[in-house]
Amino acid sequence: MIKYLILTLLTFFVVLLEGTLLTAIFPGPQTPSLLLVIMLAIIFAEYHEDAFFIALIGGLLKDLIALTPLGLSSLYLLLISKAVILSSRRAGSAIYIVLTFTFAASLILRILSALPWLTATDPRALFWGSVFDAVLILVVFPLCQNILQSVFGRRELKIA
Amino acid sequence: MFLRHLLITILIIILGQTPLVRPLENLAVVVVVPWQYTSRRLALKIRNELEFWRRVRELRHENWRLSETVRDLESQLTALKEVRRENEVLRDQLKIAQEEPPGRLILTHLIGHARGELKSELIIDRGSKSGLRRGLAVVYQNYLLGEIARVQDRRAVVRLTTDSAFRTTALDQDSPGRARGLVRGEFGTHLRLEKVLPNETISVGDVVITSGEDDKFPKGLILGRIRQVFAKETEVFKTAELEPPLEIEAIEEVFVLVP
Repeated sequence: MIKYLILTLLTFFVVLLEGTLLTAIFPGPQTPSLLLVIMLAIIFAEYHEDAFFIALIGGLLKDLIALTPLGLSSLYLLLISKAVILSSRRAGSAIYIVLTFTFAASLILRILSALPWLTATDPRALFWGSVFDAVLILVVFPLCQNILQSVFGRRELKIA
Repeated sequence: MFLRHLLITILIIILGQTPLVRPLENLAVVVVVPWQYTSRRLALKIRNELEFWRRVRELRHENWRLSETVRDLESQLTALKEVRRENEVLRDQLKIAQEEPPGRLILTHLIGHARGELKSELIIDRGSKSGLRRGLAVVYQNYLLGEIARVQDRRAVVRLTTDSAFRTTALDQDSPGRARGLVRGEFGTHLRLEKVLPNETISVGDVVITSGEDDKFPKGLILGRIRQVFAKETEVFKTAELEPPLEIEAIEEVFVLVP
Protein backbone atom coordinates (compact mmCIF):
# COMPACT_ATOMS: atom_id res chain seq x y z
CA MET A 1 0.00 0.00 0.00
CA ILE A 2 2.79 2.41 0.97
CA LYS A 3 4.63 1.46 -2.22
CA TYR A 4 1.68 2.58 -4.35
CA LEU A 5 1.28 5.79 -2.35
CA ILE A 6 4.95 6.63 -2.95
CA LEU A 7 4.59 5.79 -6.64
CA THR A 8 1.45 7.99 -6.90
CA LEU A 9 3.19 10.99 -5.30
CA LEU A 10 6.30 10.56 -7.45
CA THR A 11 4.17 10.21 -10.58
CA PHE A 12 2.27 13.39 -9.66
CA PHE A 13 5.50 15.38 -9.42
CA VAL A 14 6.87 13.90 -12.64
CA VAL A 15 3.69 14.85 -14.53
CA LEU A 16 3.73 18.33 -13.00
CA LEU A 17 7.39 18.74 -13.92
CA GLU A 18 6.72 17.63 -17.50
CA GLY A 19 3.64 19.84 -17.88
CA THR A 20 5.17 23.05 -16.50
CA LEU A 21 8.95 23.20 -15.95
CA LEU A 22 10.04 21.17 -18.98
CA THR A 23 7.41 22.84 -21.19
CA ALA A 24 8.74 26.28 -20.23
CA ILE A 25 12.40 25.33 -20.75
CA PHE A 26 11.80 23.27 -23.91
CA PRO A 27 8.82 24.94 -25.62
CA GLY A 28 7.27 23.33 -28.67
CA PRO A 29 6.41 19.71 -29.55
CA GLN A 30 9.92 18.48 -28.67
CA THR A 31 9.36 18.71 -24.89
CA PRO A 32 10.77 15.54 -23.25
CA SER A 33 8.14 12.92 -22.34
CA LEU A 34 9.51 12.37 -18.85
CA LEU A 35 6.60 10.17 -17.76
CA LEU A 36 7.08 7.84 -20.73
CA VAL A 37 10.85 7.66 -20.22
CA ILE A 38 10.48 6.80 -16.53
CA MET A 39 7.81 4.20 -17.31
CA LEU A 40 10.05 2.56 -19.92
CA ALA A 41 13.03 2.64 -17.55
CA ILE A 42 10.93 0.78 -14.97
CA ILE A 43 9.89 -1.76 -17.63
CA PHE A 44 13.51 -2.39 -18.65
CA ALA A 45 14.36 -2.80 -14.93
CA GLU A 46 11.78 -5.66 -14.91
CA TYR A 47 9.24 -3.96 -12.59
CA HIS A 48 6.34 -4.52 -14.99
CA GLU A 49 3.47 -4.26 -12.50
CA ASP A 50 4.76 -0.93 -11.21
CA ALA A 51 5.06 0.32 -14.80
CA PHE A 52 1.38 -0.49 -15.45
CA PHE A 53 0.39 1.36 -12.28
CA ILE A 54 2.43 4.41 -13.30
CA ALA A 55 0.92 4.28 -16.79
CA LEU A 56 -2.61 4.33 -15.31
CA ILE A 57 -2.06 7.01 -12.64
CA GLY A 58 0.36 9.11 -14.70
CA GLY A 59 -1.98 9.11 -17.67
CA LEU A 60 -4.92 10.21 -15.53
CA LEU A 61 -2.92 13.03 -13.95
CA LYS A 62 -1.65 14.11 -17.35
CA ASP A 63 -5.22 14.27 -18.71
CA LEU A 64 -6.35 16.20 -15.64
CA ILE A 65 -3.58 18.77 -15.98
CA ALA A 66 -3.72 19.12 -19.77
CA LEU A 67 -7.55 18.95 -20.11
CA THR A 68 -7.46 16.05 -22.55
CA PRO A 69 -10.23 13.39 -22.39
CA LEU A 70 -9.85 11.54 -19.08
CA GLY A 71 -8.27 8.12 -19.46
CA LEU A 72 -6.94 8.57 -23.01
CA SER A 73 -3.28 9.10 -22.02
CA SER A 74 -3.51 6.11 -19.65
CA LEU A 75 -4.78 3.96 -22.52
CA TYR A 76 -1.92 5.03 -24.81
CA LEU A 77 0.70 4.46 -22.09
CA LEU A 78 -0.70 1.05 -21.10
CA LEU A 79 -0.79 -0.19 -24.70
CA ILE A 80 2.71 1.10 -25.38
CA SER A 81 4.06 -0.45 -22.17
CA LYS A 82 2.54 -3.83 -23.04
CA ALA A 83 3.94 -3.67 -26.55
CA VAL A 84 7.41 -2.83 -25.22
CA ILE A 85 7.28 -5.67 -22.66
CA LEU A 86 6.28 -8.23 -25.29
CA SER A 87 8.89 -7.00 -27.78
CA SER A 88 11.75 -6.75 -25.27
CA ARG A 89 11.18 -10.37 -24.13
CA ARG A 90 12.14 -11.48 -27.61
CA ALA A 91 14.76 -8.85 -28.36
CA GLY A 92 16.57 -8.73 -25.02
CA SER A 93 17.74 -5.67 -23.09
CA ALA A 94 20.95 -4.59 -24.83
CA ILE A 95 21.59 -0.84 -24.86
CA TYR A 96 20.71 -0.42 -28.54
CA ILE A 97 17.40 -2.26 -27.94
CA VAL A 98 16.58 0.11 -25.08
CA LEU A 99 17.37 3.15 -27.25
CA THR A 100 15.42 1.86 -30.26
CA PHE A 101 12.34 0.90 -28.25
CA THR A 102 12.36 4.23 -26.39
CA PHE A 103 12.61 6.17 -29.66
CA ALA A 104 9.79 4.13 -31.25
CA ALA A 105 7.55 4.32 -28.15
CA SER A 106 8.10 8.08 -27.84
CA LEU A 107 7.33 8.66 -31.53
CA ILE A 108 4.15 6.58 -31.34
CA LEU A 109 2.99 8.38 -28.20
CA ARG A 110 3.68 11.81 -29.74
CA ILE A 111 1.78 10.87 -32.91
CA LEU A 112 -1.17 9.49 -30.92
CA SER A 113 -1.26 12.58 -28.69
CA ALA A 114 -1.18 14.90 -31.72
CA LEU A 115 -4.22 13.24 -33.38
CA PRO A 116 -6.40 14.61 -35.00
CA TRP A 117 -4.14 17.65 -35.50
CA LEU A 118 -1.30 15.50 -36.88
CA THR A 119 -1.12 17.35 -40.22
CA ALA A 120 -0.69 20.62 -38.32
CA THR A 121 2.27 19.29 -36.31
CA ASP A 122 5.86 19.85 -37.36
CA PRO A 123 7.21 16.30 -38.11
CA ARG A 124 10.79 17.35 -37.38
CA ALA A 125 9.77 18.34 -33.85
CA LEU A 126 8.18 14.91 -33.33
CA PHE A 127 11.36 13.21 -34.57
CA TRP A 128 13.78 15.26 -32.47
CA GLY A 129 11.55 14.98 -29.42
CA SER A 130 11.74 11.18 -29.71
CA VAL A 131 15.53 11.31 -30.14
CA PHE A 132 15.73 13.44 -26.99
CA ASP A 133 13.68 10.85 -25.06
CA ALA A 134 15.95 8.05 -26.29
CA VAL A 135 19.00 9.96 -25.02
CA LEU A 136 17.22 10.77 -21.73
CA ILE A 137 16.63 7.09 -20.94
CA LEU A 138 20.41 6.54 -20.83
CA VAL A 139 20.42 8.71 -17.69
CA VAL A 140 17.04 7.72 -16.26
CA PHE A 141 17.31 3.91 -16.64
CA PRO A 142 20.33 3.31 -14.36
CA LEU A 143 18.94 5.83 -11.87
CA CYS A 144 15.51 4.15 -11.77
CA GLN A 145 17.06 0.71 -11.51
CA ASN A 146 19.20 1.66 -8.50
CA ILE A 147 16.38 3.49 -6.72
CA LEU A 148 13.84 0.71 -7.27
CA GLN A 149 16.26 -2.00 -6.14
CA SER A 150 17.24 -0.12 -3.01
CA VAL A 151 13.62 0.84 -2.12
CA PHE A 152 11.62 -2.20 -3.26
CA GLY A 153 14.29 -4.92 -3.36
CA ARG A 154 16.08 -6.67 -6.22
CA ARG A 155 13.78 -8.15 -8.87
CA GLU A 156 14.61 -11.83 -9.49
CA LEU A 157 14.16 -13.08 -13.04
CA LYS A 158 11.95 -16.13 -13.38
CA ILE A 159 13.72 -19.07 -14.98
CA ALA A 160 11.47 -21.50 -16.85
CA MET B 1 -2.32 -7.19 -14.08
CA PHE B 2 -2.27 -5.54 -17.48
CA LEU B 3 -5.86 -6.52 -18.22
CA ARG B 4 -7.02 -5.19 -14.85
CA HIS B 5 -5.40 -1.80 -15.50
CA LEU B 6 -6.76 -1.77 -19.06
CA LEU B 7 -10.31 -2.44 -17.88
CA ILE B 8 -10.05 0.31 -15.26
CA THR B 9 -8.80 2.71 -17.94
CA ILE B 10 -11.64 1.85 -20.33
CA LEU B 11 -14.14 2.32 -17.51
CA ILE B 12 -12.65 5.75 -16.72
CA ILE B 13 -12.84 6.75 -20.40
CA ILE B 14 -16.53 5.76 -20.53
CA LEU B 15 -17.35 7.48 -17.23
CA GLY B 16 -15.39 10.54 -18.34
CA GLN B 17 -17.97 11.15 -21.06
CA THR B 18 -20.77 11.37 -18.45
CA PRO B 19 -21.44 14.14 -15.91
CA LEU B 20 -20.76 11.63 -13.08
CA VAL B 21 -17.05 12.35 -13.14
CA ARG B 22 -17.37 16.15 -13.02
CA PRO B 23 -17.53 16.52 -9.18
CA LEU B 24 -14.41 14.34 -8.85
CA GLU B 25 -12.73 16.32 -11.61
CA ASN B 26 -13.53 19.63 -9.89
CA LEU B 27 -12.19 18.28 -6.60
CA ALA B 28 -8.99 17.11 -8.28
CA VAL B 29 -8.64 20.50 -9.99
CA VAL B 30 -8.74 22.27 -6.61
CA VAL B 31 -5.72 20.17 -5.55
CA VAL B 32 -3.84 20.36 -8.86
CA VAL B 33 -4.24 24.02 -9.92
CA PRO B 34 -2.19 25.63 -7.06
CA TRP B 35 0.68 23.22 -7.77
CA GLN B 36 0.38 23.94 -11.48
CA TYR B 37 0.46 27.69 -10.93
CA THR B 38 3.45 27.55 -8.55
CA SER B 39 5.32 25.17 -10.82
CA ARG B 40 4.75 27.39 -13.85
CA ARG B 41 5.99 30.50 -12.05
CA LEU B 42 9.13 28.64 -10.98
CA ALA B 43 9.58 27.34 -14.53
CA LEU B 44 9.31 30.84 -15.98
CA LYS B 45 11.92 32.17 -13.51
CA ILE B 46 14.34 29.38 -14.45
CA ARG B 47 13.67 29.91 -18.14
CA ASN B 48 14.22 33.66 -17.88
CA GLU B 49 17.51 33.07 -16.03
CA LEU B 50 18.72 30.59 -18.66
CA GLU B 51 17.54 32.90 -21.43
CA PHE B 52 19.45 35.83 -19.86
CA TRP B 53 22.77 33.95 -19.76
CA ARG B 54 22.22 32.61 -23.25
CA ARG B 55 21.54 36.06 -24.69
CA VAL B 56 23.83 38.22 -22.58
CA ARG B 57 25.77 39.41 -25.61
CA GLU B 58 22.66 40.34 -27.57
CA LEU B 59 21.11 42.16 -24.63
CA ARG B 60 23.42 45.16 -24.84
CA HIS B 61 22.52 45.81 -28.46
CA GLU B 62 18.83 45.18 -27.78
CA ASN B 63 18.98 47.59 -24.83
CA TRP B 64 20.36 50.33 -27.08
CA ARG B 65 17.75 49.58 -29.76
CA LEU B 66 14.90 49.65 -27.24
CA SER B 67 16.14 52.95 -25.79
CA GLU B 68 15.95 54.45 -29.29
CA THR B 69 12.44 53.05 -29.73
CA VAL B 70 11.34 54.49 -26.38
CA ARG B 71 12.63 57.94 -27.35
CA ASP B 72 10.83 57.72 -30.68
CA LEU B 73 7.59 56.58 -29.01
CA GLU B 74 7.80 59.34 -26.41
CA SER B 75 7.95 61.98 -29.11
CA GLN B 76 5.01 60.34 -30.92
CA LEU B 77 3.07 60.21 -27.65
CA THR B 78 3.58 63.93 -27.12
CA ALA B 79 2.17 64.65 -30.56
CA LEU B 80 -0.73 62.23 -29.99
CA LYS B 81 -1.62 63.91 -26.71
CA GLU B 82 -2.14 67.13 -28.65
CA VAL B 83 -4.30 65.34 -31.19
CA ARG B 84 -6.36 63.78 -28.38
CA ARG B 85 -6.88 67.16 -26.74
CA GLU B 86 -8.04 68.68 -30.03
CA ASN B 87 -10.34 65.63 -30.54
CA GLU B 88 -11.95 66.19 -27.14
CA VAL B 89 -12.45 69.87 -27.88
CA LEU B 90 -14.05 69.06 -31.25
CA ARG B 91 -16.32 66.39 -29.70
CA ASP B 92 -17.40 68.86 -27.09
CA GLN B 93 -18.05 71.48 -29.73
CA LEU B 94 -20.04 69.14 -31.95
CA LYS B 95 -21.69 67.37 -29.00
CA ILE B 96 -20.59 63.87 -30.22
CA ALA B 97 -21.02 61.20 -27.51
CA GLN B 98 -18.00 59.05 -26.51
CA GLU B 99 -18.19 55.40 -27.64
CA GLU B 100 -18.62 52.91 -24.80
CA PRO B 101 -15.60 50.58 -24.43
CA PRO B 102 -16.48 47.11 -25.82
CA GLY B 103 -17.30 44.83 -22.85
CA ARG B 104 -15.40 44.09 -19.62
CA LEU B 105 -12.06 42.44 -19.00
CA ILE B 106 -11.62 39.45 -16.68
CA LEU B 107 -8.09 38.94 -15.33
CA THR B 108 -6.85 35.32 -15.50
CA HIS B 109 -3.53 33.54 -14.91
CA LEU B 110 -1.81 31.11 -17.27
CA ILE B 111 -1.22 27.80 -15.49
CA GLY B 112 -0.04 25.44 -18.22
CA HIS B 113 -0.24 24.03 -21.70
CA ALA B 114 -3.03 21.79 -22.97
CA ARG B 115 -2.54 19.04 -25.53
CA GLY B 116 1.19 18.66 -24.91
CA GLU B 117 2.33 18.04 -28.46
CA LEU B 118 0.97 21.19 -30.05
CA LYS B 119 1.84 23.84 -27.44
CA SER B 120 -0.67 26.19 -29.13
CA GLU B 121 -3.28 25.81 -26.43
CA LEU B 122 -2.94 27.26 -22.94
CA ILE B 123 -4.86 26.68 -19.73
CA ILE B 124 -6.15 29.61 -17.64
CA ASP B 125 -7.44 29.50 -14.07
CA ARG B 126 -10.98 30.79 -14.73
CA GLY B 127 -13.94 28.90 -16.17
CA SER B 128 -17.70 29.00 -16.62
CA LYS B 129 -18.20 29.99 -12.98
CA SER B 130 -16.44 33.30 -13.78
CA GLY B 131 -18.63 33.94 -16.83
CA LEU B 132 -16.31 32.50 -19.48
CA ARG B 133 -17.67 30.69 -22.54
CA ARG B 134 -16.37 29.39 -25.87
CA GLY B 135 -15.34 31.91 -28.49
CA LEU B 136 -14.42 34.81 -26.19
CA ALA B 137 -11.31 36.80 -27.09
CA VAL B 138 -8.22 36.50 -24.89
CA VAL B 139 -6.07 39.63 -24.97
CA TYR B 140 -2.93 41.13 -23.49
CA GLN B 141 -2.84 44.94 -23.68
CA ASN B 142 -4.13 45.52 -27.22
CA TYR B 143 -2.83 42.20 -28.61
CA LEU B 144 -5.13 39.30 -29.46
CA LEU B 145 -3.61 36.13 -28.00
CA GLY B 146 -6.39 33.73 -28.94
CA GLU B 147 -9.91 32.55 -28.15
CA ILE B 148 -11.52 30.35 -25.52
CA ALA B 149 -11.75 26.86 -27.05
CA ARG B 150 -13.07 24.73 -24.17
CA VAL B 151 -14.49 25.62 -20.75
CA GLN B 152 -14.78 23.72 -17.46
CA ASP B 153 -16.22 25.05 -14.21
CA ARG B 154 -12.93 26.53 -12.96
CA ARG B 155 -10.55 26.28 -15.93
CA ALA B 156 -10.58 27.03 -19.61
CA VAL B 157 -8.42 26.28 -22.62
CA VAL B 158 -7.22 29.17 -24.78
CA ARG B 159 -6.57 28.39 -28.45
CA LEU B 160 -3.70 30.68 -29.45
CA THR B 161 -3.72 32.62 -32.72
CA THR B 162 -0.84 30.39 -33.92
CA ASP B 163 -2.98 27.24 -33.58
CA SER B 164 -3.98 25.65 -36.90
CA ALA B 165 -7.67 25.79 -35.97
CA PHE B 166 -7.61 29.59 -35.45
CA ARG B 167 -9.22 31.78 -38.14
CA THR B 168 -10.33 35.39 -38.29
CA THR B 169 -10.76 38.26 -40.72
CA ALA B 170 -8.05 40.90 -40.64
CA LEU B 171 -6.72 44.03 -42.28
CA ASP B 172 -3.30 45.51 -42.87
CA GLN B 173 -3.26 48.73 -40.85
CA ASP B 174 -0.27 50.20 -42.68
CA SER B 175 -1.36 49.29 -46.20
CA PRO B 176 -2.50 52.33 -48.28
CA GLY B 177 -5.81 50.61 -49.11
CA ARG B 178 -6.10 48.87 -45.68
CA ALA B 179 -5.81 45.50 -47.45
CA ARG B 180 -8.18 42.89 -46.13
CA GLY B 181 -7.61 39.16 -45.78
CA LEU B 182 -8.02 36.07 -43.64
CA VAL B 183 -5.56 35.18 -40.87
CA ARG B 184 -5.02 31.60 -39.72
CA GLY B 185 -2.52 29.96 -37.39
CA GLU B 186 0.18 27.61 -38.64
CA PHE B 187 2.08 24.82 -36.82
CA GLY B 188 1.69 26.62 -33.49
CA THR B 189 4.57 28.95 -34.39
CA HIS B 190 3.30 31.76 -36.62
CA LEU B 191 0.31 33.18 -38.50
CA ARG B 192 -0.51 33.43 -42.19
CA LEU B 193 -2.45 36.22 -43.88
CA GLU B 194 -4.30 34.84 -46.91
CA LYS B 195 -6.81 35.86 -49.60
CA VAL B 196 -5.31 39.32 -50.10
CA LEU B 197 -6.32 40.76 -53.45
CA PRO B 198 -3.45 41.01 -55.95
CA ASN B 199 -3.92 44.78 -56.44
CA GLU B 200 -3.50 45.48 -52.69
CA THR B 201 -0.09 46.57 -51.37
CA ILE B 202 1.22 44.75 -48.30
CA SER B 203 4.80 45.11 -47.05
CA VAL B 204 7.19 43.59 -44.55
CA GLY B 205 6.82 45.36 -41.21
CA ASP B 206 3.11 46.18 -41.63
CA VAL B 207 0.93 45.63 -38.58
CA VAL B 208 -2.09 43.36 -39.10
CA ILE B 209 -5.15 43.84 -36.89
CA THR B 210 -8.60 42.22 -36.56
CA SER B 211 -11.17 43.76 -38.90
CA GLY B 212 -14.24 42.73 -36.90
CA GLU B 213 -16.08 41.67 -40.07
CA ASP B 214 -16.64 38.07 -38.87
CA ASP B 215 -18.18 39.31 -35.57
CA LYS B 216 -15.81 37.03 -33.67
CA PHE B 217 -13.52 39.68 -32.22
CA PRO B 218 -13.70 43.47 -31.86
CA LYS B 219 -11.96 45.53 -34.52
CA GLY B 220 -8.45 46.79 -33.86
CA LEU B 221 -6.81 43.97 -31.87
CA ILE B 222 -3.21 43.39 -33.00
CA LEU B 223 -2.53 39.97 -34.59
CA GLY B 224 1.08 40.42 -35.63
CA ARG B 225 3.58 42.03 -37.95
CA ILE B 226 4.30 40.90 -41.52
CA ARG B 227 7.75 39.30 -41.85
CA GLN B 228 7.50 37.85 -45.38
CA VAL B 229 5.21 38.46 -48.38
CA PHE B 230 4.45 35.82 -51.01
CA ALA B 231 3.10 37.12 -54.33
CA LYS B 232 3.41 34.55 -57.09
CA GLU B 233 2.14 35.29 -60.59
CA THR B 234 0.63 31.78 -60.79
CA GLU B 235 -1.57 32.38 -57.74
CA VAL B 236 -4.66 34.57 -57.59
CA PHE B 237 -4.23 35.94 -54.06
CA LYS B 238 -1.27 37.28 -52.11
CA THR B 239 -0.24 35.71 -48.81
CA ALA B 240 2.05 36.83 -46.03
CA GLU B 241 3.65 35.26 -42.99
CA LEU B 242 3.11 37.08 -39.70
CA GLU B 243 5.28 37.10 -36.65
CA PRO B 244 3.32 36.71 -33.40
CA PRO B 245 3.68 39.98 -31.47
CA LEU B 246 4.35 38.47 -28.04
CA GLU B 247 6.34 35.66 -26.47
CA ILE B 248 3.71 33.63 -24.66
CA GLU B 249 6.17 32.00 -22.27
CA ALA B 250 6.99 35.39 -20.76
CA ILE B 251 3.36 36.23 -19.89
CA GLU B 252 1.73 35.25 -16.60
CA GLU B 253 -1.58 37.13 -16.72
CA VAL B 254 -4.00 37.63 -19.59
CA PHE B 255 -7.49 39.13 -19.92
CA VAL B 256 -10.66 37.64 -21.32
CA LEU B 257 -12.87 40.13 -23.14
CA VAL B 258 -16.52 39.56 -22.23
CA PRO B 259 -18.92 41.63 -24.36
